[in-house]
Amino acid sequence: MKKFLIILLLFNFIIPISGCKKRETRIPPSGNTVKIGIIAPMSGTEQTSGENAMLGIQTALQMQPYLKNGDKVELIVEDNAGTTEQTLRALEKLSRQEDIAGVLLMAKSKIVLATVPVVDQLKLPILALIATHPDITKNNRYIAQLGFDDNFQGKVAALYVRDEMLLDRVAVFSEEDNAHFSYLANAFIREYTPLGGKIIEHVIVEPDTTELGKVLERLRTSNVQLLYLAVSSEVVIKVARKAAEIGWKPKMMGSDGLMAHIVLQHRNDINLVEGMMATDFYSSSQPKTEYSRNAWKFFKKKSPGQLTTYTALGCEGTSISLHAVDRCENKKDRECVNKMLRDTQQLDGLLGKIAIHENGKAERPIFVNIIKDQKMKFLVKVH
Amino acid sequence: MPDYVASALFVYTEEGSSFIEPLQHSPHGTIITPVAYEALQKDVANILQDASHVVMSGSMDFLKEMVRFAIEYRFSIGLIPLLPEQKNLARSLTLPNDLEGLIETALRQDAQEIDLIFCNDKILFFKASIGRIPLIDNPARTNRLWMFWEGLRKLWKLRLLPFTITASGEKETVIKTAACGCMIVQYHKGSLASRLIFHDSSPIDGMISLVLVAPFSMIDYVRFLVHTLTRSEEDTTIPESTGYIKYPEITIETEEPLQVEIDGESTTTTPLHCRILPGAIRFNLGVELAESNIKVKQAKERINIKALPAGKELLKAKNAKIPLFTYASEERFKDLFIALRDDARIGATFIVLMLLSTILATTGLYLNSASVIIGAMVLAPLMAPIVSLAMGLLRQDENLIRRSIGTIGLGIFLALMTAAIMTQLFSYKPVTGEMEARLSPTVLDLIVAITAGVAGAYTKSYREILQSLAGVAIAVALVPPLAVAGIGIGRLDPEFFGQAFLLFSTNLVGITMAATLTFRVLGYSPAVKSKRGISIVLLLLVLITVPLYLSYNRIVKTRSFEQNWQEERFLVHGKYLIIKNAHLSEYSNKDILTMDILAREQLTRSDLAELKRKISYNFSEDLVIRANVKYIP
Repeated sequence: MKKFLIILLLFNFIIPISGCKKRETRIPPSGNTVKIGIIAPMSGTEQTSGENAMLGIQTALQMQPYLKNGDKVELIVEDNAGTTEQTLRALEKLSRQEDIAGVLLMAKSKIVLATVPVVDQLKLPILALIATHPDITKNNRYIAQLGFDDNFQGKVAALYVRDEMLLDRVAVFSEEDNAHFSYLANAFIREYTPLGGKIIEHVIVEPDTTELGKVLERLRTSNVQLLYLAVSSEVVIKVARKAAEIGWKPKMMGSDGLMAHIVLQHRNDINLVEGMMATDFYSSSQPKTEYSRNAWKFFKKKSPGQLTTYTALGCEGTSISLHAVDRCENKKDRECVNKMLRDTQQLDGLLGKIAIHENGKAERPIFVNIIKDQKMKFLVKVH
Repeated sequence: MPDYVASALFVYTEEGSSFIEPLQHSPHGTIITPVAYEALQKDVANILQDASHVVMSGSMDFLKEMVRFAIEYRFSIGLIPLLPEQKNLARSLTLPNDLEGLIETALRQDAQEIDLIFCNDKILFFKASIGRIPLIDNPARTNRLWMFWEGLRKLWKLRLLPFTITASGEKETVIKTAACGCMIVQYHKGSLASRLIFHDSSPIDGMISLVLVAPFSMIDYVRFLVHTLTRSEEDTTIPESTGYIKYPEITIETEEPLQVEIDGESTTTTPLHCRILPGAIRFNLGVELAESNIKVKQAKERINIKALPAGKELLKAKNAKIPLFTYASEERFKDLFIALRDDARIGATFIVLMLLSTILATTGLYLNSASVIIGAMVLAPLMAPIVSLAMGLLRQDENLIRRSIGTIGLGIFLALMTAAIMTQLFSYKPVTGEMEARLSPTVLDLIVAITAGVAGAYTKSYREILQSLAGVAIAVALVPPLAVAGIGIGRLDPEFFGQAFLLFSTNLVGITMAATLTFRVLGYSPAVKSKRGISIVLLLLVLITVPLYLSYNRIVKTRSFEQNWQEERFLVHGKYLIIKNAHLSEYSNKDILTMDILAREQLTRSDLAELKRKISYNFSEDLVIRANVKYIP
């Protein structure tokens, strides 16, 4: 009996041990430092999203504080206050620092588009974290996009509405003077119409519009089945509130970052947008990758803030930049870093593989989420 | 109106002197002559010679001495017990609680003859106990919850002690057994022990009643506690773990001398020789006992020791703490063992049923018909030899083990060969859903097998639920996996065979282990214990758990993969592809993804190539893709 117990005990020990992974070997520090510049809105109206992105950036840095050669990674943070001027100023400042290997730019499409004419002169590799306008990667060699672009986003939204929801009467809302939203609305219309869908009206919302109620009444009478909202969260809430006032509950679909904005800035109004869908970079109920499990562990340990799309993009952007720097022999060689950034292949992101191609465009899945029971829920993932 | 004695002596010790006055002033007209015990001792013959009725009050020793005088001088007795010290004695004679009532009873002229028990020449009024008599050595009116709790507290201290009991009457019987303790009980309703045998005893039946308590195990003891505390007064069965001997003369011997408590006082040691003097004294009894005494029960010698250890069981019981599980000698469950031996035997019926069930199962598998397969499950005779094997392993009965293994082996051989030959004969050999369902055994199958094993052993142990075996057979389904394994042989596909045979082995080991343990819990362990059988089964179980666990993990992974794939969409060259009914299977070490693709536009070769690229890009698994394209109008 004793022999049997010994065998049993050995068996019980051997199996778990055999299943254990080898611990990763600790990298001995080399004494050198590589700097990554961060330009983000740390003040102004966009401050919350900037701070959220920083949480992700810091999480990624905790996961990888050293490069593979032992060089320490340091962040140089510049506040752009959500303005074009300060962004340009920060870019110039960072480009002058020789030990900056690359920059993570947390700015909207409009601002990033404004940097396009100067980046080739600055020769500083830039990874745009949230800008999705397709033109930001055009006419320059240095801006790469972490997110999918609006062509892809608009196309997926149009196909989902038409082929999956089988709806054929849509009204599109976009904002005046917003390059990203205008482009996205047009991308949607461009894709939706050939699919047999009918755009009943394209509503361009002016900042001080008072006509929303009338517009919505009109759309209701025209039997519009869905409102495609290529607008900011503030406008979405306004539309939802007006619709509720006239007793209309249309299906609504928004775009990337919308749900994060609503969760962060319009928490009290979230019930107004119950049932609204949106295309996005992430979803809360998707199986995690090894990378996201690791990131979540660090995030939970150190960061008290809420995990949003901005946090996730900050985290992924940092890891992708470090991955690019890691592959260069000279870690401060910006040309090499830029090349490697545009040669990112099958890198594990938080919810799937990410690639950045030579043209600076990212290939990554897009999610369609829905607000249900005042929470963001996953619907589908489109590759 | 009862009659009262005209005159009586009142013999008392110092403790009873307070009753002189109440006796003398009683309204019953009896002339009382008080005599102190010291005075009586000086001139016993003179004082008692003419006494016809003596009322007495004093210590227990004094009372017993007076009873001896009563036998000699033939006077009747009225008793005024000292309360509360002598409450057990008062209760045994059903005497009233109040002084007035006690005096009234003591002075009546209706004394009845009762038997008197002598143990080692000492008078026994109501009980003599040896060893630990948990629970039954309590007054019947004690709070039952408290009794249960007290009984449980003694659980860890119980030991079975060897006893030799010689019962002498019309013939002499010597009983060698073991018990936690035993108790000689004089008839009275107040004691819990006496209540167990109340239906069969009387104070004038000329018999001594001996109750023995011998739980084989802790489980038995708990059952005994529950049974004893919950039985109704009308219940005439002797509880489990209890023995009962009723004879005019009983001698109790133990290996080591044990203290004997007579009427609550430790007065002698074993060996204890008890004899009865029928109708030895005349006593003024309480109303309840006096009335029941009139209904004299037939004096009949009785020995009920079925529940006591005997034979080989005594070897285990010898002065050892009781184990957790019960054990038994083969004689105790003779019928069951005969049935199990029969089940383990290879017979024509077994072969015919095995062949028929395999043919049915193989056909059902090819037809993909669950109902035909269920028919084969019910027909399959394999469960019986597996249950026999479990018992053989538990009891280390080599003969039973050899026979069971032989029968199971033959059954396996017949099933494999029959299914293989049938497969060879069929020109069309599809892999049906019913076959596939038996190619991925997991830990869950082991759980089913274990549960079925428990049920199998349980149903076998209780004839009244034997009909449930069919349900057990369906649950565990022994022949269909064997048939699938046979089909694997017929297809010359070792993996097919291996997976299905793993499922069968899971069932075999699971049932055997569970049935072995169930038999053990139910008390079928051998008296002379051997742990080898259980060790072998446990080792096999551990070994089989490894591939099952791995298989289970794979199934969990597969299900989660399939679940996620229900929500995957692909944008391929501008075409939106909806994935439905994704199913992942493994064949020849390759992951095969089968799915429906819903699309609006026609897909070209280039689209499908791009889809394949996207799938391989986004999923690390090396997948072989099989797609069924459906167009959405």
